[in-house]
Amino acid sequence: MRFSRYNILTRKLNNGDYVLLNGLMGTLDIIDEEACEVILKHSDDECLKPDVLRLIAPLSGHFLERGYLTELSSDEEIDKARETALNLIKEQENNVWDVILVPNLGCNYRCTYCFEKEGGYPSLVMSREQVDAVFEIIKDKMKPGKESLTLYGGEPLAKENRELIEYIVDKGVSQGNTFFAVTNGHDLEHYMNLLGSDKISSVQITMDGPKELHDKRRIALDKSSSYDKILSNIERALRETDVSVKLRMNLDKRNAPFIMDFLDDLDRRGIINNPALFIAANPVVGIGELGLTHDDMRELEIKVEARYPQFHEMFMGRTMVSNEKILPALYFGVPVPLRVSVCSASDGMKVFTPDGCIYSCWSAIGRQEHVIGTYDERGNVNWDNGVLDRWKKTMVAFNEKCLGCKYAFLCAGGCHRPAINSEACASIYDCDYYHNLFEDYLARVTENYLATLNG
Amino acid sequence: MKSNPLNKGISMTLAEKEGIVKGLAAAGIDRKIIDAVFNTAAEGCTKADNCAHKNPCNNYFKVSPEAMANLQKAMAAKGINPRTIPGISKLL
Repeated sequence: MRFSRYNILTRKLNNGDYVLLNGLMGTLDIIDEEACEVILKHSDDECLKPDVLRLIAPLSGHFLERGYLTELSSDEEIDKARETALNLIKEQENNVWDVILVPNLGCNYRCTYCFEKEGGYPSLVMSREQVDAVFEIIKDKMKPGKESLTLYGGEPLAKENRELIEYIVDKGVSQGNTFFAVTNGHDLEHYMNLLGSDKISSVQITMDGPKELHDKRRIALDKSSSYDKILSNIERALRETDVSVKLRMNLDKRNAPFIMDFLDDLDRRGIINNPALFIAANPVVGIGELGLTHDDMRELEIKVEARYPQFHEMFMGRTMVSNEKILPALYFGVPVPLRVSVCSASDGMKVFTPDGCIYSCWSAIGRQEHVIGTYDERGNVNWDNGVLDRWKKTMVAFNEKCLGCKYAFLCAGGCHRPAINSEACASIYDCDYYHNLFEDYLARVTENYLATLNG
Repeated sequence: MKSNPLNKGISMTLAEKEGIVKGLAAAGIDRKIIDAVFNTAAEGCTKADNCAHKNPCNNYFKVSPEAMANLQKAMAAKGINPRTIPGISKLL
């Protein structure tokens, strides 16, 4: 018998206890210092000695049941993790797709960090015949429901696309779908009557800081101030429609120090507390020394929370993703979910572009080596099973290094976007977070939860 | 030496989920906010378990961070400790 290699222990909580999470079972316990010391001291023992077993005897049945103790050897436990991952993949193999429509590849912006830079922003637009073909291809592969179709670009909501987008939205709505659109928001005023809970129900718009900084990073082709235009459109959308606006901030060392100025402006404009506005900050990765470390992000998070307590544990995109996993376990007692991929790019995501290509990930658009298939205006599809298989194998189940990691089913192998772009320092970003900051996060949210519990 | 479980080791049943939803609604949380976390069933899906949707309809984990954040905010605003809600306390 030994302690599971998937045990995750936090720092000491403010009540003197510790949180123990088993990353292979999704179980979560509060343990005292004595239990913590034994686990820490013997976590690498391949076989617990009789004196240790005697020491933990009162808890051994409970620990075995919860997965903190195991009869399996370390290697056998990795085999079990592989089996768990493969079973999870099988469970989600239901041939249902997450569909992303890219109505055009051109863009009215030239953002400094855009992935399309290398592709030269080709001005390709989907024809109505292509739209019809895509809807024919996806008709038996789609779930009806909220935001089951995504619009992506280029810039999907450019004013030139108005008629095409209306055509797409009408088609989707008639099949019981609503849309999520990733847009720069510049021409949003042309789309007001398409925004709302029954059409384009949610939009993601990026703002990168106060006016001076934002305008230098998110550059409108017409040289107008993108900041003023976008914010005025957001204000109007929030006022006139019931669309949800996800405001994303891409942060690095150049704009992070000024983020409070931006939040203050949202506050002055009276929209910071709008329930339909969600704000999430994310670090730009793969930019070397200009990139923020997780410690930088945490420092910023603390600063923001001090001025705007409503963002407590809800400002950084990363924290919000962790909340999604941990809070249901804390507040409702359900198991911590085990995941084998961070998104559906590894299996169900299908991105249709106007050049007749299909991709698994929107960040792979324009990269021939990532084309998983092609389609034509008659609705014929040719899949490339080799590329599809390569994407499927990005899942944790097929990654030996990840399988042995205690965070494997929490991190789910991380985002593969940086690997697509061969960003030098980006692939370690997820590892860095889980190995250095997740445990502190878990301790913090548990402390918050216990504080609620104690009134 | 002590170890107290904070959660269950096995997934919640549909009945348990319905208990939580009922409890949160009775505590005054907006139904829309609750549904975004717990009732992610696609419109028209009648399969209670093992539905064929990509994000299975009764998979309460497939919630967006925003949906969870909204529920969190709503509970905090009303000073609700979810674990005292009968549907939830019964689970533990």
